[in-house]
Amino acid sequence: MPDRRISALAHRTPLQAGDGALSLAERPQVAMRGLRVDAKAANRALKKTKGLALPETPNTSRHTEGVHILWLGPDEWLFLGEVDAVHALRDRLGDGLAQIHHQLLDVRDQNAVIALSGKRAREALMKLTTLDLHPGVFRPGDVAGSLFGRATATLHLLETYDPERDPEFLLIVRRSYADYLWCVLARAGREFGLPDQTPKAGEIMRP
Amino acid sequence: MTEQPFRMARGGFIDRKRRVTFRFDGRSFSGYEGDTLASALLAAGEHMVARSFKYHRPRGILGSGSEDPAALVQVGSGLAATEPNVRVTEQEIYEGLEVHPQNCWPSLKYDIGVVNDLFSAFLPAGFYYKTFMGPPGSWGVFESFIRKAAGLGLCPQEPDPDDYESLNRHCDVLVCGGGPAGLMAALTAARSGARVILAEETARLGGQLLSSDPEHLRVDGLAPAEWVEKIDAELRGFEEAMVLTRTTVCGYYADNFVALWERVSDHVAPGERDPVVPRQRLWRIRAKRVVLATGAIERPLVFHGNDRPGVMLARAARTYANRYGVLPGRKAVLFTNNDQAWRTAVTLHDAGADVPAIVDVRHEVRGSLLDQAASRNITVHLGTVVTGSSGRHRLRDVTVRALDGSGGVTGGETRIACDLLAVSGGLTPNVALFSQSRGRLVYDDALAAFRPGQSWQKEVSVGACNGTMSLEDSLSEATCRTVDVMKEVGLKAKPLKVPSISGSEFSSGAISALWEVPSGLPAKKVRAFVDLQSDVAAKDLRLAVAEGYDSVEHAKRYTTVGMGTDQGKTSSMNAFGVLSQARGVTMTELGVTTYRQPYKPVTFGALAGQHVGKLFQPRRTTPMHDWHVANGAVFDPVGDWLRPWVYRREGETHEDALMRECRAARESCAVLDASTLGKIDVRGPDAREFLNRVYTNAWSKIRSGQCRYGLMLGEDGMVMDDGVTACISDDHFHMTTTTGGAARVLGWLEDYLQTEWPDLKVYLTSVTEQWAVASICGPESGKLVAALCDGVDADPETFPFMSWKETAVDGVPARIFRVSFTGELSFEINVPADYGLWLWERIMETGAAHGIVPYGTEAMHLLRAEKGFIIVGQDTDGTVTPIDLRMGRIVKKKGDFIGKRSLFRSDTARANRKQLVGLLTDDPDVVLREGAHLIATSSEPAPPVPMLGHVTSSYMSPNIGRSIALALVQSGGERMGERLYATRADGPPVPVTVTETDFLAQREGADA
Repeated sequence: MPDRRISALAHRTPLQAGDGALSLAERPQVAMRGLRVDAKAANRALKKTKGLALPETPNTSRHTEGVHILWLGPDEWLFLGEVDAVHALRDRLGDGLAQIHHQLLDVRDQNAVIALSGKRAREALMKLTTLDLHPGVFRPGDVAGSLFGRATATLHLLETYDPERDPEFLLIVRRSYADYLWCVLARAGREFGLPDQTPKAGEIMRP
Repeated sequence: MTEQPFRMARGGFIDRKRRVTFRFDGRSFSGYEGDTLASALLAAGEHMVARSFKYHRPRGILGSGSEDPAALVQVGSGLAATEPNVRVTEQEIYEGLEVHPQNCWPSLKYDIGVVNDLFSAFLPAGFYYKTFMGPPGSWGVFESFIRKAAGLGLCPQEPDPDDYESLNRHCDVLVCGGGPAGLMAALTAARSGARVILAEETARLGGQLLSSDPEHLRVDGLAPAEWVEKIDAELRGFEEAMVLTRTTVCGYYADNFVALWERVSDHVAPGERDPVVPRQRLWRIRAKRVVLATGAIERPLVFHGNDRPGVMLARAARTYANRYGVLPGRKAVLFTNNDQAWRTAVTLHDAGADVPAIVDVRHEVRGSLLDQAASRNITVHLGTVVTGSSGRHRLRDVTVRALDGSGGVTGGETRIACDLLAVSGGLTPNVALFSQSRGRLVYDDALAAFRPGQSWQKEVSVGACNGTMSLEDSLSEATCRTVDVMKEVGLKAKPLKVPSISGSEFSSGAISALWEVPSGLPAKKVRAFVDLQSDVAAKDLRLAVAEGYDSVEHAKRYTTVGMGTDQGKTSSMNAFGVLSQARGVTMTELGVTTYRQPYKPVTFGALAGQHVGKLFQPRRTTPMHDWHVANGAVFDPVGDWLRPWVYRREGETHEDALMRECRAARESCAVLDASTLGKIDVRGPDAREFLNRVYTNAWSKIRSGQCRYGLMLGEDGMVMDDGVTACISDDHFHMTTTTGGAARVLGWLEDYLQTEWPDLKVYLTSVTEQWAVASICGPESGKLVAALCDGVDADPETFPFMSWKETAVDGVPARIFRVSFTGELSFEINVPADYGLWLWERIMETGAAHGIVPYGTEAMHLLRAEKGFIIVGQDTDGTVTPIDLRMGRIVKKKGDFIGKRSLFRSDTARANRKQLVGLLTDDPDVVLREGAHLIATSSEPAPPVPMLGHVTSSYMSPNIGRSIALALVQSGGERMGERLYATRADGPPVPVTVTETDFLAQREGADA
């Protein structure tokens, strides 16, 4: 049922700067699960579940079996990946945690995932966030929740990225803020060649 | 005469191959690329460029950079892209630049406003305050006159057409100032591998090195500019070093957060600017350490007639000659109290000017200075001062007299013809940023100025801004202190070899402070200005002290000294000097005024950055938004959300549409986009206990598949939020909150879990946007739901009110809640948000056979009022308890909950509080005003009017067939059937009857 699902940014097409310095695209196929659980208890319970340890270092992530496990808080993680991989992991996770108090939720529709990549990606993002995105500071696998322009989002530098190549960032944002964030990111990339994007507008407002 | 008669044959960092023409005051001028407006105008011999703020006195070019107080102009034409109060000393020229003088009419040279000067005796210090405090109405009389006569440039009248941008950076070291000390510091840091940002205010690195005599000064054997270029080139080679020119460090805030203001394209003709690059940028820097290398500012001497065009700071005169290749005068007199200024006389003489005299207030100066003057046949007047000047729009001559040794002048007056008077009262360390960082200043007698003392933040001052005036010392200090700073941030740095200096001209020399130069004139006749922008004379400061404004902060505000757009860069130190003498206290006792951000005026555009226009604020929209737009929705902003308010069909008025939507909801079926409703997934073995504690009612017995309405109170017992929570399974609940309260409620509940009840095993996660929600309402809604959903029996018997079912809509998983905010049969269908639009379209398609009508928030408000349901925030205002709402039935007696204890406070428990009731007007067509006050009498008594309450919601109800209202009324529950009156501004009070709140039930009662 492909045309039934309409992702938050389905009305936008991927953008690319002429020289590949920057590109912007939605990742509508990414599935997401939110997990809240006590870290120690969970990792004890998951010991038998191969490869399924939750990262306990703040603002980091782990990549396992095609799924990125993002640390969001001391007792909160986000699982993010292709639908099949996330589903497979969810089932194993559910089994592993069955005996302990936890909350595992589908948050795929709750969020939009925007990928920003290219050699100017860090610079473009630093127009919107006060996070230090210097390559020596914000490294592959790092995660941070912050304000981007006027929208709260989670920033993730894919750990699969090769430092020799250009970084690929994911921004995970509540779907109702996605269009704003898309446009403000395009504005940040204007200098590097991204075309201007106008937010949805023009509604008739009540007097 | 050539068009640039004062341009020297060679020298200066200008591109003589690129001639630039511009217009000023209606005349055409030319200069070269690299010129500022000031240097180009001086090359043409134009000194007078402005009129002063208050007295409209002619103002010339005093400085050569951001310190200049009064050489302000309006740049650009038109109503949008025009900028007031631009310093001619900073604006670089470009082809076609349009510049207009400001605060003068009809022209710069013939200005009517100059009459103010004749009345200056009537515009003394504290003039504003005196009129405020004077006879009633006197400010009103003066205001219109003052507003017209006093002023600066004109504000743009239309939206700013330019783009701006703010951006963030972190660094190990931020170096403020690209002069010799700043360059040395930046290079020391860069070589250690640090992340360095170097910000230079002007277009070029080099600072005072560019103002020094290129024939004379050698740095490591190189001409100053060559040395600067060498350092610059090396700096730019470091990947981690960033050099920003045309960038002012404009604000130093807490925790080494520093704002930089970059003029990216102000020096380029508008038509040639890169359209994808902003006009200006605001850099927001978080620096581990800050190195301040902001140099020193020369201060003028305060003497009678010191504000005439042609009077210029000595260093500025040197800058024009060496940096811009412009001779600021052909016949130049130097007036000084210190050594370094003597260099100006030498420079101007060697550049071809006639220097008839050096006037030095000191009785003795070093022999080497005298030798330099003697070898050039310059007459030196020691122990002598300038006592006056003449010339209408330009200096013609000065008079000098000898000091008498007791604060006055003596002997005959010598008149010296000149077209330039270079003045120097000494160098003041530029401590503005240090002071903004909350560092403490100390007075230094040797400098006769304040310099940095104890630091508050993690910064160091190096070079002239630290009071280190000699070039050698400055370079050495810069590299050594930067090495220390690098160690603090964990980097290894080595001090650079300090370059060898020959022909240095930076020594400040023994300064002899003379805060106000005697003139020998009667005090009344002396016009010796301290602040050239705000027209504050030394006598104004003395008057302030005489009138009791002893504190330096009070005297500043009373006289407005240093309060102009220049922030007192050249005037503050002299003002402190005059005030300390007037009060007979030392400078340390006097203290200084507070330096505040910004260092100089920053455009609002740069501060707003890219967050303007359509990017000003995010607008949250639901998955169904595009359908609403395409189907005539008028939108209602709710927080950041846009919700359909009403759907207007072709030819309908707002009322028509509203009535149609409301009728459909009760007669056939109607659908509301309820996706914005706050939703929280509550999970854990203690979830029930948690709900028991956060809601006023009991949750222990709710079974999976059931829903329950709950009221949430603040700790004060007042209603904070409400909503329906569904039991998914024994330890799993789906809570809903109001749209506006969603984030606040989640934060509040999470706060309780983490800080008050860490023992409760409950996790909360917002799922507001996971679900798209369509709320279907009306007698036909059951049939529609049955048609839509796979295998759902919507029979009220099997799908009772306040229950929910897990189901699917054509295979798409869905949750259906049989809850109602209208009192009508209703179903809320929740699907994953990506399916929201699909669901909505399917509802409209399937619902067509059932007469489906989409309805908006206005109809929703009206429908719930028909049923007497409250809206938190409309019928409550943070002072309303559940008892006040007469909803005591859902406040449990047993068990604790947030706010419970507050319900027993004497005030919250008293019987005569305002309570929620219904109101029906006698005339069914009269709709009360929301907010109208309720009184007991048919006419309004004389104030104070005893008020019984107010209307909270009021509508014309199509289903009841008359107007209805809800109100909070004192002891309202006991007043059923009572007659009250609702006041209105435009007529006698409206008679109303107090009723129950459920108007639908009342109608049915009447029907039966």
